[in-house]
Amino acid sequence: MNVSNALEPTVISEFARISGLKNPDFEVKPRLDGNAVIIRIAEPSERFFQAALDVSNEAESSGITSVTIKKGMPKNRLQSPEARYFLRTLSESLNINRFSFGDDFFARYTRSVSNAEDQILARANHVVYGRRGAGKSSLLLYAMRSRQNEGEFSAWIDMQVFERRNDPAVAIDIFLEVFRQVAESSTLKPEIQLLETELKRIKAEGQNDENRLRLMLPSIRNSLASIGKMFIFLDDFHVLDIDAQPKILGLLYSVTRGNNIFLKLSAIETLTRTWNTKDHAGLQIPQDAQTIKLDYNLTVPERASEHIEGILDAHAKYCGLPSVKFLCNSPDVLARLVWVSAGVPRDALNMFTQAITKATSNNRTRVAVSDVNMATSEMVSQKMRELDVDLAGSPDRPAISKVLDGIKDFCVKQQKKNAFLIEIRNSDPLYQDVLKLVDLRLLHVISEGVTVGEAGRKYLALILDYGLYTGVRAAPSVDLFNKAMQRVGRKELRTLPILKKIDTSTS
Amino acid sequence: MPTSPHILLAAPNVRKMQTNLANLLSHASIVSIEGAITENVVQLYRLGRNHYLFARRQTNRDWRQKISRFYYGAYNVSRSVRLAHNGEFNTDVSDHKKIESLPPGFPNTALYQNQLIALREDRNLCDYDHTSSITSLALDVVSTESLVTNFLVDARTFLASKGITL
Repeated sequence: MNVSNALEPTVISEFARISGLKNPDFEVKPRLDGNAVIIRIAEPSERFFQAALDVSNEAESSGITSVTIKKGMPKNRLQSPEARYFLRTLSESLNINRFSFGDDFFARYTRSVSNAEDQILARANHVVYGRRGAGKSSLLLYAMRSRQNEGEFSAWIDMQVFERRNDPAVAIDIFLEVFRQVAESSTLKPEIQLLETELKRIKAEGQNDENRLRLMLPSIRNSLASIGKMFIFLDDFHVLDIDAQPKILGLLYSVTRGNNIFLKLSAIETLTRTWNTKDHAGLQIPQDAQTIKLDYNLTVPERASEHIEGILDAHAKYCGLPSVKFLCNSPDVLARLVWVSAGVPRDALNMFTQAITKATSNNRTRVAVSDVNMATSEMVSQKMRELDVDLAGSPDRPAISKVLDGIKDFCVKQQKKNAFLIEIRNSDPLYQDVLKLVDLRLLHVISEGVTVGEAGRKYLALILDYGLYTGVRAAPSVDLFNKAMQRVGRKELRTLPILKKIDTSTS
Repeated sequence: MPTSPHILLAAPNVRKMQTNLANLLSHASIVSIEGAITENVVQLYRLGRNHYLFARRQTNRDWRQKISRFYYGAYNVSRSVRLAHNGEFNTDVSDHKKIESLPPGFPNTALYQNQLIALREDRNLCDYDHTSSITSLALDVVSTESLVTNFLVDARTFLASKGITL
């Protein structure tokens, strides 16, 4: 057995275990009193050097004098261990939960475009709005991890568990989950244990009547107060039945208000109702809670570009790559990625993951624009699946699909353009449907206020999701708006066709 | 090698000595000891820098000398930093194994610790192993020069943060 083979299962695998970089490129060189192991990494960061030091200390007894990290250019960038690690890391980062990124969270976190981090840490209730993948959960997690670093307690509730529910027991389940998470870090006080037992009993008996729960609210309020100041994070709140949302918020708020406990929600705006005007229940914006909007669509392309590149760079550097551009064959790749992902970070990460896979299967050493295009057309089917999830059980579901088909028909077949204008009229059902399609990332806002001739009328400028009409290349018959992917002027926006109505009967 | 009388020979660790004499000596005397320590910190740094500048002037044909002098450049600057930080000063051969012992707050500590160990091994190979060639080096000549250059810059910044101007 040669030296390399003998070392591989020990030093190298231990290095891989500590650093996360599997099968790194390495060589062994003889020294006066043993052997030195030299591991090559494209752009090693401190944590790789630290991993090598940790391994060195362990390896001394087996005749290894040192484990050294050396900067080295991989022969095939996309097939390199660093790129494979990057791919794995991107996949892991697509779904955020309270455990995501472990201790490395801050090394891999990229601040939001709007610097929402300071706001979310404030001792106030917040609703973070944004489309799927806009970074809502990441922002909540930023707040939770920051508080953990300060030794402060938070509870994280993944609302997906309560999808489409419309019963007061949701609030019971949330209280029970908060108590369960408190018990993870400290022993529950006897009065909380009693309360927990009572809540479980109500649930088990199926007596989910709201009045019974309301009678218990003062006790719950006192119990939560005894835990101390707390943030309760409710991630993806919009998945609850929309009619139940203000009711559940009202129940939660009645025990948190003035009790040093703050609610932090993430949600998709058009699928969320925080306040029920009729019943006066829920969280009223802005007096009870403030909103933080993360989504800028394509209205400020340069900021979206900077943000997405920043996120990809943070992951690339974490994996030992100099930057994400290192894996691209031209600057156009990232520009295209930002445009087709419409500034939605998770879509960009997902599409770039797919693009790397496409490029690798075509034996390319770097990602090309055509790989991004192919990834985009596949991404649209995922968005359509998400449309089913987000609108599950909603009477809107068939109408929205028809509206989308109608808009596609208007743009691609009739106007042969991929962008259009619609008058901003909140009372117009078509306009409301368009906003829902924006939230579902099938349409993207390119300008929030365009005037076309007549004073007093304002229009929203939108672009169809690229995946709706592109394959490897864009559909040749469609006149692509803003091919240069830059901020567009008002003059150009005014030339776009105006969508006034669509025929849903034939779609 | 310092000869008596010399501040670095006054005690195994001059910083500890300075601390322990704080109640016995006047403030002016303590300041005077501090000044003498600082003077040695500066001289050690300059010694390291001289080795470094000499190394830079060598061609790759003289790779053994080049690496060896780069090593001594880094080693003496490391001694300078350690003396400034905790009064550590040792002329024993075992002190070479402390080249990578950098104080808290020194930038990129893991990088320097890892790379300075490799540099020490490369230097041993250059000075003592007749069978070795330039390809035997763990860090090539260019990487070594870059490493030591950055180390000197970071050490200068670190010492400046402790009030020592070089």
